[in-house]
This record gives sequence, C-alpha cells and structure tokens, in this order.
Amino acid sequence: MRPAHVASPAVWTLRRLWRHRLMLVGALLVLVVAAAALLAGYLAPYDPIALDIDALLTPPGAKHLFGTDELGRDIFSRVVYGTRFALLIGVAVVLIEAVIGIMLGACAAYFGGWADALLMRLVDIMLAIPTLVLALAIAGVLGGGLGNMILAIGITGWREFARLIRGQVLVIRTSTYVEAARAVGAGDARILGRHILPNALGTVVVYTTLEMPAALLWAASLSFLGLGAQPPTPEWGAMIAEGRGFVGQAWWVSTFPGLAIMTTVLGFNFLGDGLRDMLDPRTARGL
Amino acid sequence: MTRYVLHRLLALIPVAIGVTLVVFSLLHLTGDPVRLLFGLNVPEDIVQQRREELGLDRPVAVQYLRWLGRAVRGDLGMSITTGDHVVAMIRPRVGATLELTILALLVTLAVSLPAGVLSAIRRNTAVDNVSRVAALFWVSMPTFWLGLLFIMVFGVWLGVLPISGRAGGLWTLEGLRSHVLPVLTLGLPPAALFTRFTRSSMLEVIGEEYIRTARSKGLAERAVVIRHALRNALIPIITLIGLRLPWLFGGAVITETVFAWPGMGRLLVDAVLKRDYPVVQGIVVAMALLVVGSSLLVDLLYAVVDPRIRYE
Amino acid sequence: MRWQIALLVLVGMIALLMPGMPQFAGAQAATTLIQGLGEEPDNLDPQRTTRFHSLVVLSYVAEPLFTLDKNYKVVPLLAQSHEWSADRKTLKVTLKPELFFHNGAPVTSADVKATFERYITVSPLSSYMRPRTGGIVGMDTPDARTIIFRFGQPKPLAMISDLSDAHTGILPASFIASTPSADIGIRALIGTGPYIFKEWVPGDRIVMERFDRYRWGPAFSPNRGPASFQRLVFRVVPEDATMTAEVAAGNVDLTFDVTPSGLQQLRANPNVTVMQAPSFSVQYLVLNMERWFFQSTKVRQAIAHSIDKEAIARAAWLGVGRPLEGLISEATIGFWPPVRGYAYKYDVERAKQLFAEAGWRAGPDGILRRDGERFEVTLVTFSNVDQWRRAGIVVQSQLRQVGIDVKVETAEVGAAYDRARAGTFDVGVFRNTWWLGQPYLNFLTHSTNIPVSNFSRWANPELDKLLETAGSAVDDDERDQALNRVQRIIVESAVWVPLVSNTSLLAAKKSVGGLEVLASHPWWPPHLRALALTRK
Repeated sequence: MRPAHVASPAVWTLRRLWRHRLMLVGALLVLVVAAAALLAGYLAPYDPIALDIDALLTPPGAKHLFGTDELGRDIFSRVVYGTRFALLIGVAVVLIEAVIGIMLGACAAYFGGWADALLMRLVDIMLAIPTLVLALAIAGVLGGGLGNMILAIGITGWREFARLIRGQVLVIRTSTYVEAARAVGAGDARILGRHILPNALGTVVVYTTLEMPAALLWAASLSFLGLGAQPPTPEWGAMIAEGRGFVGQAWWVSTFPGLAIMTTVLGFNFLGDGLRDMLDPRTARGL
Repeated sequence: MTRYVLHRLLALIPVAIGVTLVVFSLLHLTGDPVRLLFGLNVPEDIVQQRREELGLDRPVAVQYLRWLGRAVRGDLGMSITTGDHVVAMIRPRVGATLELTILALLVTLAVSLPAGVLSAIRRNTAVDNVSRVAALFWVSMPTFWLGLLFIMVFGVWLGVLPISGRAGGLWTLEGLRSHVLPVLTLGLPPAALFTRFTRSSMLEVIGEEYIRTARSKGLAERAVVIRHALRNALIPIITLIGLRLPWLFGGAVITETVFAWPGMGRLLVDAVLKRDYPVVQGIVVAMALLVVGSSLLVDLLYAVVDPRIRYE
Repeated sequence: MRWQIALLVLVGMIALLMPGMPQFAGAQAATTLIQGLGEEPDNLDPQRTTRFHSLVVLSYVAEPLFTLDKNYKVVPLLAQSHEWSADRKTLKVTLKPELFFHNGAPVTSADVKATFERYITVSPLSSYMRPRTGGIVGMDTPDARTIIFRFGQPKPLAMISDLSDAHTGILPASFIASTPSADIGIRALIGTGPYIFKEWVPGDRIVMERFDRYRWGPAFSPNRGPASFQRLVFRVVPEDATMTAEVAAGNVDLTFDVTPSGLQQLRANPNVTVMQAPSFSVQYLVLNMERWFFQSTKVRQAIAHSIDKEAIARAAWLGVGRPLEGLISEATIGFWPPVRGYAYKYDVERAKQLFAEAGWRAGPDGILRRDGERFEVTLVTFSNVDQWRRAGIVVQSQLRQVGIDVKVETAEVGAAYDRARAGTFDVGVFRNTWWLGQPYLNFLTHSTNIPVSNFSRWANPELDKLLETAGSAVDDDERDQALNRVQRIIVESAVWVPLVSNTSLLAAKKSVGGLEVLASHPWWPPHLRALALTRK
C-alpha cells in the first residue's frame, strides 16, 4: 500500500477541503442556532409556555410540526425558544470558566513560586473530583434552577482553562517583547494585561469553542437529574427529562429536544475541531 | 519503583484533605437536611432535637474538624436519612461502580484501538472520514439519551436484553446479560474520542525512523503496525485514559441512574436530592480517591508498555 | 484463526441475546413475586423511618397491634381485644394467643412495652403519644398477654392514630436491646409479619422469605396466612421510564409505583393489568396572607374561581387525579361530604367581576393593576415528581388567564418547604398524604403551627378552638361536629384552595392473581398485598 505519510498534493488539498467543509457545516449549524435564538419570536408559531388542555400529546403534523407535549405546548416553538437557553448556558458557563481560569492561570504562571504551587495543588484537587459529580453536589446544595446550574458547572469546569493559560503565559513570559516591556519599566498588571493575555487569547478562543459542547452536555445531564432550569422554561435538557416518561406512547416529546442538543453540540464540535486544525494543523489531536 | 509508589501515595494526602475541605464548605452553604428528611408532618421541636443529635447546630468549622478527625479513622459519619454508617452504605456499592467503569473502559479500548489503527493506515480514505464524522456524532449525544434509546430498542421493542438492574455477577448468564446495556452506554461515547486519538498518535509513530527501518527490513505490514507502531502509540493513549478517568466516573453517575445500577453514582444522586450531606461528602471523597488511585495505576502502566521509563 | 475468533464472538453474542434460560426462570417464577419499588427505602426500622416506601416494605415484616378495615374501623391484628376507661386515659389491650416472632420466640406484653418505649423516644411521628403532650405516662404488664397504656390526658384517637400505624410495628424486646441502632431495619429486622426479612442489597433489591408459621392475618383477608409466594423480591427501579419499560417487558410482576404517563402506556399492553384506587393525597394551593393583595376576601375568592381543577386533573395527572373540594380527600377519615357545597366553582367571568369589585383593572398587557401596581406573584412548588410540578404550571397558566402574572419556582420537597416556612413565596402548591383528618388539618391550619406547617400565616381563633375540640373531646359527636365546621371554614376562607387528589396506581402482569381481593379494599392495605396475591 501507499505509505501514508507521503500524501500527494492532491490528497493533501482534498483533506484540507474536507476538513474545512466540516468546519463550514459546523459554522452553519451554529449560525442557524444563533439565528433561531435571535428570531425566535418570529419563527415560533406558538407561545412556548402556553398550555392547550385540548391538545395533549398531539403527534407531529401540519398544525404542530413537532407535535405537542403532555401539557399541550407546541414542541417546535419550545425547541426554537430553547436555542436561547442553550446559547445562554453555553456562553455563561464558558465565560465563568474562562474568567476564573484565566485569572488564576495567568497569575500563577506570571508570579510563579508559591502562587504557582498553590494553584497547581488546587487544580490537582479539582481534577481528582469528576466534574459532573462536583457540579451535581453544588447544584444540589444551591437548589437547582438555571442560574444555579450555570454557576455550579462554571465553578467546577475552570481548571482546564487555568492549565492552558498557565502554559501559554509561561512561554510568552520569556519572549523578547515581554522582556523589552519589562525593561522599559512596565508594571505587572500592564504586562499581563497588555502583552501576555492578548497573545494567549487565540488558544482561548479555540478552547472556548471546544468547551461549549461539553458545557451543553453537562447542563443537559444536570437537567435530566432534576437540577436544571425551572419549568416551564423551554430548556432542552429539562424537556427531555420531562418527556422521558412518554417515550413509549409519544416518542416526539423527548426526541426533538434530544436532536436539537445533538445538532448544536455537533455544530460546535465541527467548528472547534476545524479551528484547532487551522491554528495548529500539525499536532492536531483528538477528534 | 516502591519509592515512587510510596511517594505518590503520600502525595494523595493533601489532595484528599483539599477535596474534603472543598466539598464540605460547598455543601454547608445552604439547606436544612433534617427538615427535608422528616418532611412536613413533624413538629419543629423534634426536628431541632435531631439537628442537635447530628451536630448540625454547631459552626461549620467545628463540624468539619470533627468530621475530618473521624474520617482519618475510617468513619465517614452517619447518614441523615437512613441512620446507617456512611462507610457501610458506600462499601457494597464500590464494586458495582468499578465493575461498570472497568468494563466500559475495556469496551472503549476494544472498539477504539482497532478502529483507530484502521483509520491511521487507511488515512484519508472513506473509512477514515466515516470514522471521523461518526466520532463527532457519538460525542455529541447526551449519555442519558443514549441510555434511554438503548432501553427502548433492546429492552422494550426487541426485548432481548434486561432493561435495568444488576442481575448478578459476570459469571452467571443473567448477570452478564444485565451488564451489556449499561456498559455500552458508558463505554461507547468515549470510544469515539479514543478512536481519533489512536489514529493521530499512530500517524505520528508511523512517521518515525524506526518504523521505516522495520519496514525496510521487510517485516510484514501487520507485524510492523501491531508490534512496533501500536505499542509506541499506546503511551499517549494511556495518558488519555488517565485524563478521562474522572469523566468515566461522572458518566457512571448518569448511567447508573438510567439503568437502576446499584453503584455509588446512584447513591450520590439520591443523597444530593435528599440533601444527605454525610453521604454526599463520603461519596465525592470516595470517588476522588478512586480517581487518584486509578491514575496511579495508569502511571504504573507506562512502565509495562514502555521499558524505557524507570521510576525513581 | 481470524474466522475462528469471529465465530466465537458470534456464538457469545447469541448466548448473550438469548432470553434467560426458560426452565430456570419458570421454576423460580412460580414461587417468587418480584415487585418494583420506585424509591429505595431509607431504612426499614418501623420506629425511625418517615418515608412512605419504607413503611410499605416494612409492613410485610413488622405488625402493629391493630389495623384498619375498609370502613376505616380499627380491627385487631396482634391484639385480640381492647378496653377503654370511661375518661379515655387508660387503654387495656390483650394479645392473641400463639403469636410468634420470626426468631421463634412468642410475642409477649414485654415486647409491646419495649416497642412503645422505643416509639415514644425515637420516632419523629410519635408526638401525640409522647409524655410531654399528655401521651403515654406509663405501661403495665400484669401478665404476658396483657398491656395497659396509661395516658396523661384523654387520648381518644390513640388507637386509630398510633396503635394501628405501621410505625408501632412490634419488635422483640431482646432484639431491640441487643441490636446496634444503626443495624435495625438495615441489616436486621425481626417482626411477626407474613414475610421474613432476608437480605438487602443496597441500591438493588430487598429479599424476603415466607414466614410459614404465620396464621394471624386480619379478619378482612380471605387468606389469614401463610402467604402464597415463598419469596418476595423488591427491586429498586427509581427511574420512572425504566419502571414502565420493566413492567411492559414482564421483568417485574407488579408495582405500585407506576406514573400516570406509564399507566396510559401500560393500559394498551395485553399482558398487563392496571388498577386505580382512591388515595388520601391532597394537592392544594395556599396563599401567603402576609401579602397585601391577598387580604381582600374578594381577591381570594376570585382566585379560587379562576382555578379549573378538572384541567389540572387532566393535564397534570393525565386523568388519574380527581378534583377536590375539601382540604382532606374523600378517602381520609373525618371527611365531611357537604363541604362540596361550599367549594368555589370554576367561573372565569365571576372571577373577573370579583377582581373588578376589589379595584383591580386590566392593564395594556392584560395583567391586572391596582394603584399602579401590577399583579405579580411567585408560585413555589415541588420539582421532584412530574405530576406535582405540572400542576404548578397549569395553575400558572390559569391565573395568567385572569390577569395575574405568575412566576413558577420549583424546588425539591425540603427546599420548597424551607421557602414556605421562610415566607419567601406568594402562592404555594403543595401536596400531602395523611389518612386521618384532625391531626392533618390541625397541622396545616392551626395558628400555633405558623410558620412551620401552616404556610398561610393566617391566624383564626375560631378555627383554632374547633381544631382543639376535634382532637380532644371525649364525645365522638362533638369531635365530628367540630371537624365538619373546620372543613367548611377552611374552604370558605379561600386562603387554601383544594386542587386534586390522585389515585393510587398499580400495574401487574396478567399472571398475578388475587388483584380482585386487593381491589375490595379501598386503599390496598399492606396485609392484602402480602396475603392475597397468588400466581395464576
């Protein structure tokens, strides 16, 4: 067979195209989700929380595209409005993670010494506790609800960010322009804020895209366990959880929100995978 | 080697204490477990009496130190809901969880190693691309949804496998059958990730000098791939196993809930919903220790796979 | 080599997918009953547990002195006869002869005494019997079969509220003395019931073995012992959808923990029988009377008129609930049927008129306003059980129709009650199960129970006085009259709005016999569950 490591230019180009095609598909999916979130008011034919006692568990059809749930609410409208909550959860969780992670990681790497040792210890400790387990315990204590769930996942999931930023800053810290900035008398905060962090941000953006699907899946899991969004919020994880008692007689109730989660997560995965490839095609690992 | 193991074991102590501190302080921020336990039908004075019995009326710092003092002696306290020793409640469930996670890990590897190797040697062919897209699909699926789908298809529609529960050990047919769906639910989604990872580390290794040498010596392709390339590609894969261990235990929580599996994960979900602090604390700490212990084992695996590594 | 491995894998897969060996399963099935449990018991200690599922399971093992027949009359179980003193302060109970514990020891008055001593010290539910509240101040055992309870105050409800309650299941005195407290009900339990506690695999199953010497079942049971099934396995299946699937697949013989949605699904299954029976449960709405907008009687009545109970029963309970007119259900002891005439009927027009009379006008967004304030309220309800939460959502939607903007917040039971107690809610939708009227209504509405269990924060001296009479008057009629009046005042106040009572549900394989015997008794008591069921 043909040795795999000497791909012909044609194959190489094809491969890049294929990769970018996936990335394009991903970007398209994410765009669709974002558009649905923005235009939910126009797209959804019904009020997502309005009950219709005379149309309980209606199968998908012309009147209700995805059918109705056990309280007669239109599932298509709920799925459409659900995009808002999905994006809210994804963005908010990743934001909390990034803020905590960047602050801790950057400080640890820049100051080194005991600050670094302390952070790495903390990361060790946090890494030993499975994210879902800790988030579950915290969400349970906080009492569930959308905000509490976001907080629980956010304060559990920052450690990868911290490690990533720490590694980046360690490299950048010794670069010549940072040395130069220091030589002209710039302070710590200024060096960190103006010179080091902006250079590490590329990696952060890629990691953010990759972390988004994980945040969505964790949120769905917590909702499934009953610690997520408050009813009648049309949040997808909670919709699956509410509909799971009906799988035998009304498959559509939990199937459509399930597909919605899958599609959104898939979009972010394609996009993040492609971005990582572009940023560093040689060592692209994982997916 | 012994010194290394001892060193790692000693390093567990601060991690364990840190875990307990983090978990304890987070769990005591809110809530009234006794009222939750007794429900509405019990007068306030009786509830207060029970709170005092359990020491829940003292400052959190005092509660923590007392708990830690007992934990060192292997006593994780008493459950608020059952009145049983937390250790006695966790002990019979550790086996079920370990069994589930270990089997799931084996499934993950059994699927992903061959698939990854195949993707690597058939790089950029249809096989590779299908495996890539399939992998992304798999990791995009929520675990509990996959579990529910499995139950519907294999348990209800086809009726060929038990739906829930652990019917017995692996040595009985019924027991073995009851393991199939939970193990697949937990083991298949990470297989996607491992497949892609195996592929890329195989690709790196295949490009190395000694593989070319082996090939030029005229060794059969299969021998080259398996004996030389895969063996070296295993090292980063083992690292990945170590990194994914916490994820595996987290997934077990969901899987055990869906399949009514008598493991620690389900006990945790129960305890969280009933706010049984001592049990939640006990399980989170026990799971953290299991994760750390398994990572230690994974580290030791390096030595088996890669004879160049020596622990000093 | 390769095809050999492939063949091996194939054979292995076929073996795995092959349904379990039929002859083996068949031999076991005839003598074993597998019952699905939706919640794992916390422990099976009669005196310590407060959870419903624990009581149901431990009732197979430990028995109280008395039990209730289908007319809620107290009938003897371990007791043979009883005798009250005229002042209702002394109760003499004589045990049946020939009663044995599972360890072979005969049941004596000393065991009863030891059990009740334990009950009044450790049980969180023994407040009516505690010495401090005029309960048991002494117990005499003149002979091995006679026990005399001495009360500090008249305790006319003692037999029905405590002596026939599973929480007073009699345990051997020696067992209580010699067993560590953490072990009772978890690793060991000895009683007199039709089944012997064998093994508890945590998170998985509880196994019981038939007690062959059992002959003292209650008179209302056609089979007074021993039970038909040799083994009883309680399988813990906490996930609702999984339970439904297990019943549909025939892996569970019967369960009382099927959800309304599961019931709909199983009704169509030719291999499964489903049954319903009334329960004592009450789902009600309560207004926080500290809010200024609820001070107006007209506003409260308008809210009561806005609630369509039928819709809640249909949508939230998928048809297994029934609209409720009083704050206790028809199955509860002490229910007064005429209360139905005082309940506010669903009437949106009347509600709107009442709001208008109270000075509320609809704003441009359809929400009512008065003195520039929008009618916005927070509704707190439970999150754990689908149909409880759904009821809150239906109420939200109904109140929105008449112009009240409702925000729903759900929490699991404990957290929801925490909020109710703290007063950080406007409207609550809660649910209770309580089979005896007086203590329950006292608990929910007496002013001394503000804010612990009377969440309305509304004190009514007339109501208080009537509740006290209903609990302690020696004359039966006087107690009944007082309790009837209590029910009327509660409904008329519109501080509480009764919503629905659900039915108990059962789903069983067609091969399980004796269900008609179970159905002859309104709430399927534990003794019939243990003694009446057979394999067809």
